[in-house]
This record gives sequence, C-alpha cells and structure tokens, in this order.
Amino acid sequence: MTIKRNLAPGKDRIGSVLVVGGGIAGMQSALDLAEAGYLVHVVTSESSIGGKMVRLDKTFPTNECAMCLLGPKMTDCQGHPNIRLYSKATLEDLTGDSGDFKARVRLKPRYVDVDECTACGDCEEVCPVEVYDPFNEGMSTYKAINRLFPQAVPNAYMIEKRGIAPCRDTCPAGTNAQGYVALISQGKFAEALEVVYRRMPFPGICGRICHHPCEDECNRIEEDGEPVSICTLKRAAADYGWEDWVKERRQQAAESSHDGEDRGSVGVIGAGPAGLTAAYDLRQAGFSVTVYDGLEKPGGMMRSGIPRYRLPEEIVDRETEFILDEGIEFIGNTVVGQDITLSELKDRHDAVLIAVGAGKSRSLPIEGIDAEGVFLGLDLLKQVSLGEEASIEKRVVVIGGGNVAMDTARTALRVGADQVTAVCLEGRDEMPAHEWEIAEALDEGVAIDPSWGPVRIITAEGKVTGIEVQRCTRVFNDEGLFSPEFDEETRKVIDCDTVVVSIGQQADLSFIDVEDIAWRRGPSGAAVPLKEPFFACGDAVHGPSSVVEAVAAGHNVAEAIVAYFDGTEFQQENLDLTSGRRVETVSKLSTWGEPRYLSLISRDGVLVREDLQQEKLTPPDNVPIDPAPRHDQQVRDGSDRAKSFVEVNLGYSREEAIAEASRCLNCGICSECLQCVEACEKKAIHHEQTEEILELPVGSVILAPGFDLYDAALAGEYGYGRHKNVITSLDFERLLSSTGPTRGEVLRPSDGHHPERIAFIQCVGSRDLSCDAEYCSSICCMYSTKEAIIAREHDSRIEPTIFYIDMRAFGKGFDRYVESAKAQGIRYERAMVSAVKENPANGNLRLEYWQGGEIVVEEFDMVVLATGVRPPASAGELAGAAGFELDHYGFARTELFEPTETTRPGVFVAGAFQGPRDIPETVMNASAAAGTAGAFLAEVRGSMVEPKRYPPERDVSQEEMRVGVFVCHCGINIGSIVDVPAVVENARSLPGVAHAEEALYTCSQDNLKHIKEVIDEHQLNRVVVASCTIRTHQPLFREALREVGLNQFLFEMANIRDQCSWVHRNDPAMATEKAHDLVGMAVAKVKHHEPLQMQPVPVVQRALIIGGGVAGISAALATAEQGYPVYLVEREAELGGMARRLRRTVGGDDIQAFLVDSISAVDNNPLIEVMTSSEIVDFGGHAGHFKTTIRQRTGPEGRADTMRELEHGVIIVATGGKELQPEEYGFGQHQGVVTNVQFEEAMADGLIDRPEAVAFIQCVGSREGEGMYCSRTCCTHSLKNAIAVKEANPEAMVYVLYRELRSYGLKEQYYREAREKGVVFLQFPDEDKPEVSIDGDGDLHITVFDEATGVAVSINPEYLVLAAGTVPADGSQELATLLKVPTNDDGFFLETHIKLAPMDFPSQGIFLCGAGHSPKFIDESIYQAQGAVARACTILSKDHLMVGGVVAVVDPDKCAACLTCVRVCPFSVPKINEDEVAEINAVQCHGCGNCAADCPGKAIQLQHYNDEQLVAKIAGLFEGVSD
Amino acid sequence: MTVSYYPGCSLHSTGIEYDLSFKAVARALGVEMVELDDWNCCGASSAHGSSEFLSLALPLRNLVNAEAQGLPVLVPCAACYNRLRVAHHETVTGTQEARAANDELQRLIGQDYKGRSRVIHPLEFLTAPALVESIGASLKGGGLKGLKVCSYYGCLLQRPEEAVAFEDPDNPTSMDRLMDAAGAQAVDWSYKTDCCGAGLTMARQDVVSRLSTTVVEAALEAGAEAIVTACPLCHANLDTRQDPDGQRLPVYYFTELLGAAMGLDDVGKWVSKHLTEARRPLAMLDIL
Repeated sequence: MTIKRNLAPGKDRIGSVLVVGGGIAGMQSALDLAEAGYLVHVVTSESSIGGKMVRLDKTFPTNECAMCLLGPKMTDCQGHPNIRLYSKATLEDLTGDSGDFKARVRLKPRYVDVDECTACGDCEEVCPVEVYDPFNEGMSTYKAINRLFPQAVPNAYMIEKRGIAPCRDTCPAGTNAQGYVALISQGKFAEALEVVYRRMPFPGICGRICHHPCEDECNRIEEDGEPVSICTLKRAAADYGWEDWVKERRQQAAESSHDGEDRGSVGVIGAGPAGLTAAYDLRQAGFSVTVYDGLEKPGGMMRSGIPRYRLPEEIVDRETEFILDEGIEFIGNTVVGQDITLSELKDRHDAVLIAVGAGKSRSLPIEGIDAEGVFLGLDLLKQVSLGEEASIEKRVVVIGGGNVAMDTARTALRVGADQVTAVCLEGRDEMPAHEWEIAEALDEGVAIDPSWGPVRIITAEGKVTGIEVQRCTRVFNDEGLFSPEFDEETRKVIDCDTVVVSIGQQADLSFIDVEDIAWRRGPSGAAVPLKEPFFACGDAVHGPSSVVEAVAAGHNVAEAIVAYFDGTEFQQENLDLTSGRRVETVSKLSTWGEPRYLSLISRDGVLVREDLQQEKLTPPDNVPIDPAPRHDQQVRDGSDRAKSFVEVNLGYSREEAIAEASRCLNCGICSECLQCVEACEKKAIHHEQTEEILELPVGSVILAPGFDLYDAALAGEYGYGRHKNVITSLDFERLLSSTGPTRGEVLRPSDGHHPERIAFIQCVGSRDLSCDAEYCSSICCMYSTKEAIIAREHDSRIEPTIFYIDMRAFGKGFDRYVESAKAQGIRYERAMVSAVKENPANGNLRLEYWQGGEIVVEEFDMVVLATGVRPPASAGELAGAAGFELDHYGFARTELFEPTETTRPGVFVAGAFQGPRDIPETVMNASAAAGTAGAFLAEVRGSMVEPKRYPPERDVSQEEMRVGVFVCHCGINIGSIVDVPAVVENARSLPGVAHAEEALYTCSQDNLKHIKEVIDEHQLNRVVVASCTIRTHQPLFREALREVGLNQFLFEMANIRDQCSWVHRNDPAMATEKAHDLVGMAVAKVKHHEPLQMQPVPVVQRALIIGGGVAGISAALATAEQGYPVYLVEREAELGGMARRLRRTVGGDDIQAFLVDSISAVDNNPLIEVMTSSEIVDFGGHAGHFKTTIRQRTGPEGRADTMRELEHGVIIVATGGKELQPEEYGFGQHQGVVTNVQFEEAMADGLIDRPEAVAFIQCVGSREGEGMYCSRTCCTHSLKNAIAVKEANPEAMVYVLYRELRSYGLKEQYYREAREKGVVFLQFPDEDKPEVSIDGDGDLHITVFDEATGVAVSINPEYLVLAAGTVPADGSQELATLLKVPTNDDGFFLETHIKLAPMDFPSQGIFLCGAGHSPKFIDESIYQAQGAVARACTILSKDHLMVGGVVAVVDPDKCAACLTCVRVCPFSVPKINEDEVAEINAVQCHGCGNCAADCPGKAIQLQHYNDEQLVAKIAGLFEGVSD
Repeated sequence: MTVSYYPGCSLHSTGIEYDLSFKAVARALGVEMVELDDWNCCGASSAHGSSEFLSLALPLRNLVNAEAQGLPVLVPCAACYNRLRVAHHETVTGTQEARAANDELQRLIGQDYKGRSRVIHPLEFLTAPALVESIGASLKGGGLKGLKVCSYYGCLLQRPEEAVAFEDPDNPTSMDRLMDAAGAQAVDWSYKTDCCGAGLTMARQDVVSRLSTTVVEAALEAGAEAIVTACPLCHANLDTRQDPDGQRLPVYYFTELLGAAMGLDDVGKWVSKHLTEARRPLAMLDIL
C-alpha cells in the first residue's frame, strides 16, 4: 500500500476538516472526526441535514423507521461541540494544499436566525404562500416559510425567495403587489392594506384609477390568458380593510408617538399625489410639514381632474385626510404666486418642495378657438368635479385621444350632452388612451372618430356651430416622434355646438420669483429648479403622468430632502444621491425595504430615475396552479350609468376578491408581506439577510454530496409524468411514510382510491446503456422488496408484483429478506416491462411484457418505478470547486486500493458519490473517509478544539434547599393553552422553591444567560425548567448549570408542551392543572437529586487487531497512521489471508503487488507489532483498557507455545472468510472440476493454458438450504475467470450457469464485457439445478434447463468451475464466544446495527471489519477496515473515558448473587466478582435500568433515577411536594 | 416560402389523398412546394428489407438531388421520411455502410451526398409557431370544434430517435397541437407510437391484424371519434382492417382534417377514398 498522504516536512497542518454533504455519509464522517478530536465544518446545500435517508419510510432488511434511526444521529451532529453546521451552503473554492486548505463557502440566506428560531411554527401559520413540498416529492404543499421536515436539523425555519415578482417590479412606486394579493387570498384585507400602504398612500384611489402596468407583466397571462386583477384587488384591500387598518395604525401611533421630534420645517406646494406622498414621508421622518394648495381641499388632480364616476369624492377625502391627520398642516385656497410668493415660503421653511403638477391644459392655435362653446378639457373636468355649472350644449366634439379626452367625453355625456364625438389625430389602434378607458367610453355611447386633425372651429355669432377637420395620414415620424402629416384634400365638417380641447397638459411655473434658480430642461420638457433649499417632483418635473408615477416621485424627493437635512453627500455641485446608499448590496433576493427605483439627481441637475429592475421572473414551477378564469368586477350598466356620476366600477365582494387573489402564481415565492415578522415573538426573521462568504481553514476535505435519482420521465415508455398512477419509488416511500402527504395511507394519485394491484418495475435508469447508466444501482431490488412488504403491512389487500431482471439481493441478510417477501405473497416476475399504457376509463395501467413465449398484457392499479442512482447534479461544480476528477459516469474517481481518496491529495470521498451503494456501505465508507482524512492530521489532533473550562463546582450539601423554577411560554405553544403565570405562582408556593419565573422562550441564548444570573443572585441549588423535552433541551440547561458552577445533575425538566399543551389543546383549564402537577413532580424529585460526578478512566492508546488479511493489514496501517501502536495477530504463519490466493481483480488491479507492498509497510512500521501463528486464548477488561492473552506457536513447526498478555484500549476483529469446499457437481471426483479460486490460480500459473470449453456453475453452497445468503463475490469472480478464458482463447466455449447474475454497482460493465466476448449465460431455475456426470472416458457432462428458451442444454466442458461461496474463517465462532460478541445464523459476526453501526459491536471498544462481517470484495474490506479504525479512534484519541453519572450501582451488602442482573442486562455488563457479589462496571453500563428494575433484592439502584427520587416524584403528584 | 417536396411512391398511388390534401393545405398557407427533381423510390419496405446497400443508396440518390436543388425537402410519408433521415444520419455520422454506398454512388452517377440536405416531416414543418397561428386564423367557422381525435404517429416517425426524432419520441405532440389549432380536441392516449404492423402486411396478416385492432380499440376506449395519421402505411392498415361488424372509426390524414377545418375544396373527394366511412363526421361538423 502506498501512503501518499504524507506532506512535505515542516508544513503546518490544520486540525479541522470540511465535510461537504449532510446525509448519512456526511454525518457519520463528521461524528467520527469530531469524536477523534478534530474541528468539523459540515456544509450542506439543503436547509437541513439528513440527506436522502430521512425521506425513506423504512429501511431494509430490518424494516426500521428511517427517521427514527437517523434522528439521534442528526441531533448528535447538531449538539456536538466540535461540529459546526452550515445549511444552505455550498463549497465555492478550495485553495492551498493538503493539510492546509482554504475553503470558501457560500452561505445562502435563510432569512431566519437559526439560533433564535424555536420552530414553533407561528410564522408558517400566517404565511399566505403555498409551495410544493420537495420533501414529499411535491405531493403536498408547505409554506414559503418552512422547515424541510418536522425533525429538521437545524430545527429552524427558512424562507424561500426567488426574487421580486414582475408585478411588484413593474410598479413605479414599488408597491408590493404579490404581498397584498397573497394576503387578500387569505381574506386578510387590513393586513393587505398595510402592505399597500408601505409604498402607496392612495390605495383606494389607485385601486380604482391606476393604469396598472403590473397587470401587463403578470405571469398568469401565460397560464390562462388573463392577468390577476391586481388593481381591483388593491381596491378590495381598501374597501374591506380600511377601518381595521386605520384603527390599528392609530393605536400604534398612540403607543409610539414621535410628536416631540422636529427635524426641520418643509413647505410643500401642491397637494396632489406627489406633494402629499412626499409630505407623508417627511412627516414620518420627523419633519414638520406644511402643504399649500390653490384648491380648498387636498388631492390635486385626484380631486379636480378625475371624474367622480371613476373616483368618488369620499375616497379622495378619506385618503387625503388620513395623510393630513398624521400631523401635516394644510393651507388651502392659497395660490403661490398670488396669495403668497415663493420667496416668502423660503423664509418660512427650511426647505420648499415644488409639486404643483401639470394642471394647465394645452390649447390649439386654430381659428375660432376663443369662441363661446370652446372649453379646455381640464377646466371642464375641474368645474364639474368641484360642482360648478358647466355650460355644455347637446352636441359635443372632444379633440384628443388620450385618457383625459375620454374622461372629458364621458363627463360631457353626464352634464347634458346628447351626442359626444371624440376626434383624434391617431388611428384607432394608436390612441394613447388605455384600451379599457376607450371601451368604457364606447360603452356609454361616445363616438370615436380617429385620424382627423382639427383645422378650424366654425362659428356663428361668436358661438360654435361646427368644426372642420382634415384627414391625418400619419402621426409619428420614423423616429417615433410626434410629427403629424395631413391629407389636406380630405376634409369634413362636424356640426356641433361645444368643442372641448383635451390634447395635453403642462406645468404652470409662472409663480417662480426666486432668482438664481438654475433652470434646466428635464427629459420631458419640464423645468427643474435647483437651488438650495428648493426641490421639485412629480408632473411639474417630468410632465403629465399617472398617480402612481407621482407617488414614486414623491417618495424619491422625500429621500432627497432627508439626505439634504442629514448633510449626507448632498451638495449643490454634486447632487448624486447614490453615495451613502447601498446600491451594490441591493441583492435581487433581498430587496425588502429598498425602493424599487433609485432616485438620482444627475450631475447635470436633472432628476432622473435609475431603474433597478431585475430580469423578469418566470412563473415558478413549484407552486400549485388551479386553472381559473379572471373574475371581472361588477360594472354598472352602460346606458344607465352615463347619465349620472355614480361610480361605474363596483369592485369585488370579499369572496370574489379572495377567489381572484387566489389566481396569483406567487412568482417571487415569498411575497414579503412580512406577516411572519409580525408573528414571530422571538424576532428571529430577517428579510434583509444577504449571502455571506466564509473562509474556512481546513486540513482536509471529505465530499459526501450523496446521489440523485434518475429522472423517471426520461424513461418515456413508462409514462411517468403522463400517467398519474405511475410514480417513482421515492414518491412511494413518501406515500408510505406517516409524515408523508397521505400520512402513510397508500392512495392512488389520480383518484385517491386504495390501489390493490401494484407493479414495481426495476432497473429504470439502471443497467441501461441508452441512458448512460450501464451500472446497476445496487439498492433498487431491495428497496422495492421493502416497499412491497411495507405496502402490504399498511394495507393487506395490496398485491405487489415486482418485475425484475436479476434479483440482486447480495447484501447481508438480503436473500432471507426476499424469501420472506415471497412467503408473504409478494410476486416476483422475471421480465422486462416494455411499455406502460393507461386505461383511459379508470386510470389503471397496462403492462406489456414477455413471459412464457408470448406477450402478456396485465392491468395494475398503480406502478412504482425503481429509479436508479445518478451522480449528484452538483458533481461537476463540486469537482470544479474542489479540483478533483470524476469518472466517466460523473462519480468521484477513486483507485481500488485507496477507496476513499480522490485524485486531489487531502480531498476524500464518502458514500454514494463514488458509486451506488446502500446505507451500511455508505456508513463504512464514511467512517473510512473520516479515518483517512483525519490520519494525516494526527499530529494536530485537538489543536482546533478548545476544551471548555468550567468554574469549580459549588458544594451544595450543607445548603438549605433553594429550588428555582423557570416556566416557558414557548411562544404561544404553551402560553396560549396553559396559564403560565398561574403555573409560576403555584410553583412559587411549593416548599423549597426559592424563585419562580416565566419566559417567552426559556431556551433562547439571552434567557440562558439570565438563568445563570438568577442562579447566582438567588443562590439556587436546584433547578427545574418546565418547557419541552429532555431529548432535545436537557443538555442545553445542564450546560448552563455547569457554567455557573452547579453540578449538572441538580436539574430536572417538566415537559409541559409535548405532554401537556400540545395534547390538551381543547381543555386549557385542565392543561393548566396538569402543568401544576408536572412542575410539582419535578420539584419533588429534584429536591432528592444528588451531585453526580463523571469519573475519568485512563485509555490505553493501543489497538489489538485480530486477523492479518487485507482487512487486518489495512486496519493496522490506518491505526498506525493515526499515531497509535498496534498489535496485529494472525493465526497463520504469514500475513495476507485469502488475498494470497487471488491474483488480479476483475478490473485488472494486481492483488499480489498490493499485498507485497502492504505487508512490507506493516513490517517496516515501528508502531505495528505483528504476531503470526498466534491465537487469542483469554480476554478481559473494558473499553479503554482490555487485557488479552495470546498464544503464539513458536519453535519448529509451531510446537512450542508462548503466552503473552497484551493491554490495549480497543479491539478490531478482522478474521475474514474462506472459500467453501464444495461437496457437489463432481468436485473432488474429477480433476477438471475446480473452484473459482483454484481456477484463477491455475490460469495465472499457466497450469491451464488455452482451455477449449469451460462451464461455470454459480451459487455453489450459497443461497440454499442453511446457507441462505449470497456470497456476493462469486458472480464477479466467475465473470473475471470467464473473461480470462476468452482472452486466452477467444474461440473457447464458455458457459456461465447461474440463478441471478449479481454483478452489482459498477461491476455490471464486466457482465456486458463477458457477453460481448461471447460467454454464454444460461439461467437455471432454483429448484432445477444442473446435473453433472462423468462418463466412462472421464469426460464431464452437464445438463441444464435454460429458463429463457425452455429447453435442456447439454454441455461437455473441459473444466467445470464451481463458484463456491464464502464462509467465515475457522475459529470465528470460538473467538465470538471469547469476546462475547454475537454472530448471525450463518456464523458471520453480527454488528450492533446492520444499517448505522456496521463496524461496531454492542460491547464498547470492540470493532469489526472484513469478510468476517459478511462476504465482500477487497476494496470493501479496505474501507470497512479504515472505517473500523475511525470508529476505534473515537476511543483511542482520548486520554480518558468519562464514566459514571446515570449508571447502575450495586449495594454489595444486599446482593445475593442470584444472576438476575447478569441475565437481563442487554449489554452483558454485570459480573459476579471475587467477593461473589454482582459488579457493574461503570465504563460499560448504558444506564438502561433493566437490572435495577429486576433485582429482587433491591441491591441495584440506577443513579439519578433511584427509588427515593422516583417515590418523591410520585408523592409529588398524589400528596403534594413535601418539605 | 418555397420548399422542396418528396412525395414518394405511396403518395402517388394508395395515399394520393395524403398528397392532394397536403399540397392544398400548403398552398392555402402560402407555402410554395417544388417537387424534388427526378426523385426515385426511397428504398423502404422491399429494398431496405433485402439489401443493405440499396437501403442507403436509394435515399442517398434523392438526397444528392435535394442537395443540388438547395431547398429543405418535405417528406410526408413516414417510411420515406425515415429512410431519408437515416441515410442522412449515417452519412453525417460516417458509418462504414454509408461511406461504401456513397462511394458507389459517386462511381455510378458521378456524385455523392455531402450531408447538406434538410429533410423535414410536414408535422415538424407545420408546427412552426407562425404556421400554427396561420392555421388557427384561417378556420372555417369553428373548424373541427367538437371533434375528438386520437393522433396516431406510428413507429417510424420518431424512431430511431437519434436519426429521425424531431420531438419526444415517447410522447410526440405535434399532431395534437395541429389538431388543437384546427379546433379539434386531441385526446391523450398511450398508443400514439405503437406499431400498426405495416411492415408485415403481406407476410403475417394475423400479426398485423392484432396490432392494428389494438390501436383502433384503444382509440375507441379513449373516446375518440376519429384517428388521425401521418403515414400512408398506418392509414391503410387502420382504415382497412377494422371490424366490419363492430364500432368503426374514421381514419384521416392530418392534412385532410386541416384542409377540412380550413374549408378547402375537395375535402370530400379526398376522404371518399377511405374504406371506413369518413365523410359523415365532417358533414356533421358542417365543414364538408
């Protein structure tokens, strides 16, 4: 073995490791490293750790709940002091060298403070936006603020943001349309209005008359042609939310008055939308503001220019009054220039804002313009609006095609005209008026006569009698500028008696009397005054525009004025407002609080706007969309309405508004309505968060990004995505899961019916060259078997059928699992399904497959596709960021003998990122990566992790009892049900309680600090926290006690949330009663708590490895690399084990060369002491300090024995396996009948040369009778030998007789290679094994029934190679007895947990690897060995093991040595000692309490849960707390 | 717009109504079609089943002519389309067989195929957004409004995928989109790309019968009132092999239905050639 991880000497190494990936592999690596003394940074791109495994319902082959298995591991990761978790994070870049890397990590914002969030769910409750839940594969929804799953780690919420929705992005004023629409969809009108008001102080007005550019951008148009009716929804917010909202606002204002503040005085000229918006903003910013206007009442054009039938006066009154009520002085009937001069205003105020609008109509320089009966449009509108008499005659011609012209025409109808014609230059489709304005005018009877230009007004006696017009041939020139051309020949006269000129407006700035104002032309022809302290905005600056544009201008100028007062970079010479504003940091995803437009006053003095628009957001693909046509608001009937000024548009009813708002697609996902901010009592939500980049110094890196699943839609023949009842296996896992979309009920997606016939189709995206996945995904056969079993457990009517090619049950216990499935009635059909068709009548699915010589069509209720494993989508980016190579499939490239090392030194790989594998292999692999990644940092072990120091412990033994009780509200989780103040009051009255108090969140960082202060202040010596569960929170509080010098065991928790408020929601009174009891019991018990001390037991930092094969050698080298001495014990005279007889791997790697290198590395390593010809004869001690006696056969032929006692901290069992000696098929009767190993040796040694005909028989001694297990390696071994035969003699006839060909994972390519080389594969039935005979000439005859063709085939091979299975090595059973470790039915060692602890034994300190665990390949043995070492290092790396605390203790005086405890202990800890009483070693005790409960003599007590404490606790319930 | 047009033998004989209707629709949409100069048999069925050389050389000669003409060539018959595209594909990917056929072509006619022709199926051509819009705009009345159809693509149009497919070979939608544009309701079904058995028409009548019956039954089951095809072989099979005593479904070329929706003349003449009654459904829609 070459160890290439060594660094150049003298180089500094860093004692921390970066782990990329938060799945089981990442977690296992992180925990092993953290336990071994390294600082670990775990980076996961998801919002929680857990990976794929948490999405599974159960795990094979033990049918355990995946979440239950993983939960504790996730909690361990979160709680470990040496582990730092970064969620929503990716590795960007890795610079430096092995041992001394710099990792740049990008942290995406969660918008929720992970440390503060308690996951109470209040935010989710109020969030209005629903998104498909990716955890449930999109089969259910959750909110835009969400947790990936309830047990997520970190257990905190996050917000999903895509950016700013197009509607909001388009609004000139930046009104958050998505936000208020979302709230309206929930019926929250007042809340919606609050959102509108943030940027739009005229909600009711704009809800009626806005030209709503937002709707043009609405993505709903793509869905069903029509946008969400955003404008009318805004009106609905004002219609239904106004009163509640005003009440709320006034209340808030009363609570936080800013009356005292006066930052200066600003005079605003003009009470139109721009002036009032600026006035409002300035007032909010603490200025005193006076608004001057020529009209009696505020509102400007909103009051005088917009006809009442579009905008009722009371709405204008209401909204303008609200603004003035904020404390703004309004001086009406005051025309600046007439009643007061601008100069006087300057003297009166510190700054003056000119917002006079563009209130002057343009006129026409034509004959007759001064005649009686000619009006200017705005004048007419104003007269009518203000209730003055308008002398309109019966026949009216309106000149103009804009919105004001339409308003004028419709107004004319209402004040007495019979006949109104609008004449305009533009063609019908060029008219500047909005289409809906034209439509409403037409509706009411206005005639539109386009493409005419006025020539003269015809008069008689000074009165209008008609108008002559000429044909307008073109309005705009090629540059698009206004430049009308006419056909003077084509003219006509329209008879009329009134002409209204509505061709545009301009600002009247004649009042400006201040000299030295620098006047410059603005972009639309208006002028801008620029002399301190004058400001201008709105239509007066950029010409006539809409209300919403004016509002935008008002906001912007207010900011400019504030900046002017603040003196921030605001000077006459350089009016650039960009300085001091966070322009660069305006992230597209965190623009909350930022104006959508950035107001700029450029160097040449023109107020312009810079557009901060992002690229338009497309519709999101993860929100539920219901097809729904647009709801139109009710409109008053045309003929009826045209005679009056009652409002034409009637708005929505509440129900209509909710329905219309529900059409919103929520393009930005989070709508930034900020309801969550409101709801979060802990103030943990921060919408303004931005991305961060971290630079982490690390010594090495482990990549464990996991895998992706094949996109089933690509297998088009199965119809995934088209046929609703075709789902993937992961979809099915979620259906089975109790936390899934159906809570564990198996229901068909199409109709929610219970399916009975369910087909599972294997190899979807696996073993398929056409989808670049030649490999076998290794896990699908088993997970489908599991899903079939669990489905039947959920619903016994389900009849599963699994369609497969080869059933690859090659792992430990898998064949037995499949047999049990068959026994339960699960049908296995060996067939490839060629097509899945849908029955249109019922959504059932017809599967077509070939069986028994014909095409069968069979109907099923549901189909589950076993989708294969793919490299993670992030593989390419990760390879780029971390600088290592991928293999041609896209998995991380590794070498066979160095299975965890990538092509870049110091960067390691774990889990399915190096190819498909199941959970135990992933765990082994992850531990191995932890081992190798940690090994070469061994000399800096512990350097990055500071041991925490605590103050000396207070001796409380002489103190009087002073209990402190802290009761938690848990936001509203407890507080809204249980009467927390009453619980506190009650607690205070209990005997011994010195202090009691409540807290919103007891667990928050600031409250923990407070608890410590209270303990000090009140000299408390016992603490009770009444809140949630000890599982998650006890360590936190115990830690607080330690930090303030109290023994951590003087603490008790009462769970008044999970066990009280959550389960008694409907009965608050009784819940409070129960909380009293729970707190009382805790107090009663804690008073009997004693300080318990953990005792350090020294660790002998040395390992004993039993077995000198590949696993043992690898383990020895890995341990030595970690810096720990090793005893390597081998029964045989030489190291090497089974590998001594193997020459090359199927991939061509030289096993003998590897072995020679490795053995010489062992021999030359001073830390490794090898003992060959040696066996274990005695064993004792405990984890950290074992004593083992070895007998070594010495002397000639091993006749003499030497005994030797070894002391060591850990043991690694690596005893391996051996090839089974066949007893059938003529083995031993014919020299041509050999095993695979024998054949390989003979071929390699040239004893067999150019064989002509060779047959292989598989499963010899495997998968039948008592050996009902797959030996895993034999199929590949036969492939290797078959290929070797074909290479030696391409003409040779080679047959492989098999039952299932199990070339799993990337080995599948050799199966193909063999077929391509002409090897013939014949599959025989399990019950009809081949028959072998030897004839009189000594020739071999084989007869085999070939299932595919249904005929018996006769073969006469030269050699018959038997693929003999693997059995445990000799002596395994004896060793198991000696070490007291379990074995399974097949004699292989049995690990603690088949999934998550495949290298651990139940007894602490003893570890497992290699073929003694189960048959495996060399690379698998190597990584399991390295993994076992990593596990061992969690002990070896410590000077001491801390023992004691919650452990059982024996009172020797009471012990009768009855052996009860010895029998009940699940960990075999109690022993009868030399004094003939039971002894329980604190090191080994798990604190389960079984012995204490069963001991008939009451000789055993479990500390911290002793009889006295528990009796006191029960007494606390029934008798009350005693003194 | 001018394009080249390769009718192939079927469209000059059994599938003449496909030929006429396609030309009429193209004309109505303002597409000028010029028949490919001196075209020959594409090599489908008999030639490609019996000689690998002919299976490539015959289409290659057509491609050479198309190259000279310099226009994209529309090929309505699915089998012709398939042969021409496969020959093109083999040439540009440089298979040994294509090289050999091209060399022989060079020797025989003095020219070989350079790989520059564009062979397009009318379904791909007509689903260009502008043409779909044109079709929608030129409907007579509601077009095919009320008619439920199953679009049947058959096996040759999209397979082998790498050589011929112009859309998802498992779930093509071009014909459905055209039918929708023509006002009909295209029903989703799972048998769009099943084989009708045409290749075995002569040799294994039993197999053909089973395959085409399955398709017709599936269309009936999906609630279709007509089947639409884009291949003369499919059409012949489905049209002629329906159970005379059972419920029967008219089988149209998609071009016939487009023509009918657009109110073109001669629709009656085209569909009168079908063996399964096909006039009545259109007459009931008032577009015949």
